Amino acid sequence: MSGLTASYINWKMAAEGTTAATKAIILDFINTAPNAAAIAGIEPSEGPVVDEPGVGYGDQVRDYDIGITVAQQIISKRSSLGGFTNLTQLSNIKGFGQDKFNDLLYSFSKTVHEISAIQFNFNSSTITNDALNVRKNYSTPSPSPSWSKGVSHTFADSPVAYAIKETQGKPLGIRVSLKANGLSAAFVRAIGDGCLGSVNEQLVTFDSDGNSGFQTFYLQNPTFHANGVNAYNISLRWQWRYLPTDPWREIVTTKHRLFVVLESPTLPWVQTVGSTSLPWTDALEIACKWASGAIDKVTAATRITERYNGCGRVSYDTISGATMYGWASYNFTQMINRLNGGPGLGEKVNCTDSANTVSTLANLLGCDLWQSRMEANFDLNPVIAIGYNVWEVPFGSGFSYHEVPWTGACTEVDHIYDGCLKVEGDADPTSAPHVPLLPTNMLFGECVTMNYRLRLCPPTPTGCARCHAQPGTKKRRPII
Amino acid sequence: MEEWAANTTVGRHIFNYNYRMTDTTLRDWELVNVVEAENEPGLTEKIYIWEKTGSRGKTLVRIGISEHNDWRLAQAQLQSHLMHSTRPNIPREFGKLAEIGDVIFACQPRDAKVVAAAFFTRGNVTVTVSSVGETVIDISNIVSMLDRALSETPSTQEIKKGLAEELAPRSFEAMKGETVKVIDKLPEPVARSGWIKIIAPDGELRREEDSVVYVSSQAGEKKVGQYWIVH
Repeated sequence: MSGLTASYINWKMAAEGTTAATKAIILDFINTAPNAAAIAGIEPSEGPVVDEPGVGYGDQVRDYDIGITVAQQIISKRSSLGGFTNLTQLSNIKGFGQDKFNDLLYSFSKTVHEISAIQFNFNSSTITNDALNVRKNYSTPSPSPSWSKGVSHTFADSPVAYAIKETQGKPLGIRVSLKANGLSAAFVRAIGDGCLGSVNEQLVTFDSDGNSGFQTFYLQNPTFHANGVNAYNISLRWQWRYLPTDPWREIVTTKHRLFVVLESPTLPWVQTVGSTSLPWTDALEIACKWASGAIDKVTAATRITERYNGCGRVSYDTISGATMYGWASYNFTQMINRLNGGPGLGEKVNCTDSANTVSTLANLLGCDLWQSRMEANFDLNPVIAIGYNVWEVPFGSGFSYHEVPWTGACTEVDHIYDGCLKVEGDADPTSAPHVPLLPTNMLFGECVTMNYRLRLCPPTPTGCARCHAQPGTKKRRPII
Repeated sequence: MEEWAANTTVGRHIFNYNYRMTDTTLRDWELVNVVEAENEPGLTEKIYIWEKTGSRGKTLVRIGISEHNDWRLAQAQLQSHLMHSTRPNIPREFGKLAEIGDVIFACQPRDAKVVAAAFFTRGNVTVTVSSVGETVIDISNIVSMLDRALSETPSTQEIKKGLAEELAPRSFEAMKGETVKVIDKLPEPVARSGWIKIIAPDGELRREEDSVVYVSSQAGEKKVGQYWIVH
């Protein structure tokens, strides 16, 4: 049988004085490698297993470390055993000979072998030099720290959010905790594959147990500020070296889900630690996708309005116009469920539900919208209600009230975004032909100039004249 | 609301506590979502989303149930529901559902003669039932079933079958206007065990902290029925 014998392995470790810590690190490495490539490394970079330069076959100073074929053999044996419990189990693996075992011992006897944790948000009271405080949703906090060994496996397991305005031009720090074996210090960096940039090289010190504690690194050349609102999957490829002249060696590649918003989220969202109204990453998934690429608040709110109106998951309650998702507080949890394909609280919504959804998502990106009403009992022009494609006057007459996302003081001179219905876009909204126009950033207006109010209501005593802005009703409903 | 109150007779002396729907309450329907939301401080509404079996999400009914300390508060909540509906002048129901609840409002779609949304109270409970799927349906049967569950005295047959249990009734002499405690302490709500229904011969029932009290409208001997309804 090819490969090493168990007795050789025991002898070699005794001869090298291999410590229990080194054995444990090697076992952890070969047991947790997700695939053969994680053992063989990324060519032409060295590591994670490197060649001991003074020992080996051939006349090369550096000859082969563990390649992909042998790495696969190791993975196969691991599968058959259900996991390695002792390094002697590396015996009888085809292609895994003395040189490669020697390289394995060499690589991990003096190494930075672990990224233990990463904090992107380490200062909960500021957002200028680090990430936002976030949580997953109403009932589930975000992981803290953002990334942890053994816990964070997918991109979604490690959420991170930054606000463009507050971080533009500022140094962005992250705090990283590492483990080493046989080293008191080493240089560490990370190569990023996207707009978060890389992590600058830093000298890290380790205590006698090999722990670094949390040490501060800085992001190098992040580019997300230029791309506006977005969500990204980001990988950071962590590396170390002992001397500045040594080649870099691999530690691990960590995965993160990056959300970028325009500014610090406004109410109902807060940055208060422990609050259920910290920005929800479940909501950021929707908001960042719908407003992707927006670089200003008007564009962001417009895109949210457009995408909500066209989402195909809700339609207007043409029977009673009832508020289905809550009016004292807004059941955003159930609306997210609905938007993501679940039942939620049903397909039917009214203007209050729509205003809540659009404003809550837009404010998550840093927009500054309110939910506010216009009243009362006013006639309407034909409109296209959300989820439909026909022109009709709702309920055959009009609305008892209407509620929309509204800017500023929510008065006639402020602007509205209405994701609930399309109004007539031409010069005569009262009659056909009709040109659909989704109201975004539209002046509410009076009853003389063609703005939102005259597009929504006919210019009659029972139409526009009854449709008054009610700024006293403006609010930002708490979310549940 | 004063008109509603003036016309409320039966509901004044009916009290339900911890009414819940279970996944077998509606035959041929699947309970796909249950949400308890505290929409206002101290007020929990239970919302049930039912999907017609085989409809693939196109036929959905939303049922909202909120319990209050007394029938007046239930009617106040009903008014809140109506005030947060954009349809002007949601009509009082005077058709086939006119006898439902203490006060009932119902809506039909423009192109069909079916009741597709209803808002009513029965005693201390406010109920909303709405067709909320792509396919609009008649919810009359569901509304009727809910009102019967909240208002009718369990039949002898139901008691024999174990679907209801008559708790020791309270029988006593009462003066007009006298307040009598009929339940000293309501049990903690338990999700699936059942609910309590109290029916008095007259007067009013209301909750005061964890007790239920009866206020007699006439002097005489009174028997207040208390029932444990199994889900």
